[in-house]
Amino acid sequence: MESSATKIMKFGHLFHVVAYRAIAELRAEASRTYAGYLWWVIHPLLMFWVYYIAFNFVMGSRTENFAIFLFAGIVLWQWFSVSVLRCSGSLIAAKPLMQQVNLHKSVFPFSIILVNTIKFGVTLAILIVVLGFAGFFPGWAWVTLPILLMIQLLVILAVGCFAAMISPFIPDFQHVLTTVLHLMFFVSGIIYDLSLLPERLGSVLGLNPMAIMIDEIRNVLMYNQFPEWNLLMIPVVESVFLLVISIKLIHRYDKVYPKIG
Amino acid sequence: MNMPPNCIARLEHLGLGYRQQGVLPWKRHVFWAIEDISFDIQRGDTIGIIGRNGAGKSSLLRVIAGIINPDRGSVERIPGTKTTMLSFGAGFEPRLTGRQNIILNGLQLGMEKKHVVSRMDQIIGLADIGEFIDQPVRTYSSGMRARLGFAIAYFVDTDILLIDEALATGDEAFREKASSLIRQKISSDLTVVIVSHSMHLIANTCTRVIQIENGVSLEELSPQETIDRYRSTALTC
Repeated sequence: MESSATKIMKFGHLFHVVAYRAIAELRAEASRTYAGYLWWVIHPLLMFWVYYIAFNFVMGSRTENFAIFLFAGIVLWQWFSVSVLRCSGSLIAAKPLMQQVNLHKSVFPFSIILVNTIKFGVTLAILIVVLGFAGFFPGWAWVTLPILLMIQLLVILAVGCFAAMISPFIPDFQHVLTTVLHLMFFVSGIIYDLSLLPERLGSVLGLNPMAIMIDEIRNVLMYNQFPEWNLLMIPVVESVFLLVISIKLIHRYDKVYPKIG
Repeated sequence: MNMPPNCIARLEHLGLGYRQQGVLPWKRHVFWAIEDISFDIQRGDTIGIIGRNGAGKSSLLRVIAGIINPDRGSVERIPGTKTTMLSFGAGFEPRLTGRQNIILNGLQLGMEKKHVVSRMDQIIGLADIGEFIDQPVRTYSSGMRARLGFAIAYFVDTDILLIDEALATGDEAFREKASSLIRQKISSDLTVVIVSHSMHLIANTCTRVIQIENGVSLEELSPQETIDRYRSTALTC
């Protein structure tokens, strides 16, 4: 039996592998374009510019806040959707490496999520600057922001690991996932306020962890409103449940993944 | 576990099947890459695995490495035994420099980060690819990749080293250097399992030779007798 000391050492080593894989991917990605790391800043700014033009000039809406409302929602959503989508292909793409090196397979989704979380960090900084320009300044409710972001990270880890775990067995899952994410985009209150929905529909959609996260984080950022903690128990419970199951299954099929897919 | 004292790993009646797509998606049948392989690995052994293409040699290495589990039979290892597959640069990230890939690959092979960093100069010296070490790996020739991959794997601390020679490229000089280094490692306490089609290499380096035919390990004879048996069957087919 392994002692707990060697287990901790192994865990530390896996953490190094995840971190270095993430750094490697970020570097590699930056080297692909001329502007490199600058794209981390340019891309979200361009995205905001598109909404700003669309809602202030093209559609002639006088509510400047809608562009901000939308931008905040999309930024949070993309952190989730891009991570999950990339995770779903992670074990399939890593097959050649798996056949040569004995690595715990959870390394692959975790490093992808780390990459996207670092990029999200930059985008969040830009969002905060944009909020400042629009007159939304940090207040006391902002101290809850790290906790809320940790909960969203938990949601991403859970859904990401689940997608990574199942895709090699059922490659069709990736197609289904694209559709499900597309649907989720429209029912997560990104382009409208969820409170506008009829109550019965709203209570069903209330089980959608991303709807809760986006709503709560946006309330903090835009209205300096403290989160409803009991509502946040829904994503926490759902994610812990899904994450534990997914990690257990990845662990269980650790020696099977190099054979299939 | 009832293993003889000097035994480091024991393979018993291994079987390994791959599911193959049938005519209908739900009708899959199993292709047995390994049917029945048994042998002991003693500490300090240098075992050559020979057999024709598709005999199950590479699958066997993966099972010994613990990358996949057998579907039948068992692999027993002394607890704490480290097994490493010499990968000749699998898992290089083409857009990173050689130096960055040394750390990435070293970590993925199970080395501690400080261990990799402290051996960086030795690895670069062994790879001997000059200033390309600071260039992205995508600009490397396949020989240079192989040299760098070999150099990294050479410095991994391991108990059983697995070498799939089919993966090796590189020029004559590098091959000579690599095989003499492997021989040096072999003369230490390291245990090595080599898959190779080069009877010259097998005859010169291995203390034992296992022949595999259609996923079955044949009766173990002396190295020279095994090579002769392999040559005679290879010619008749």
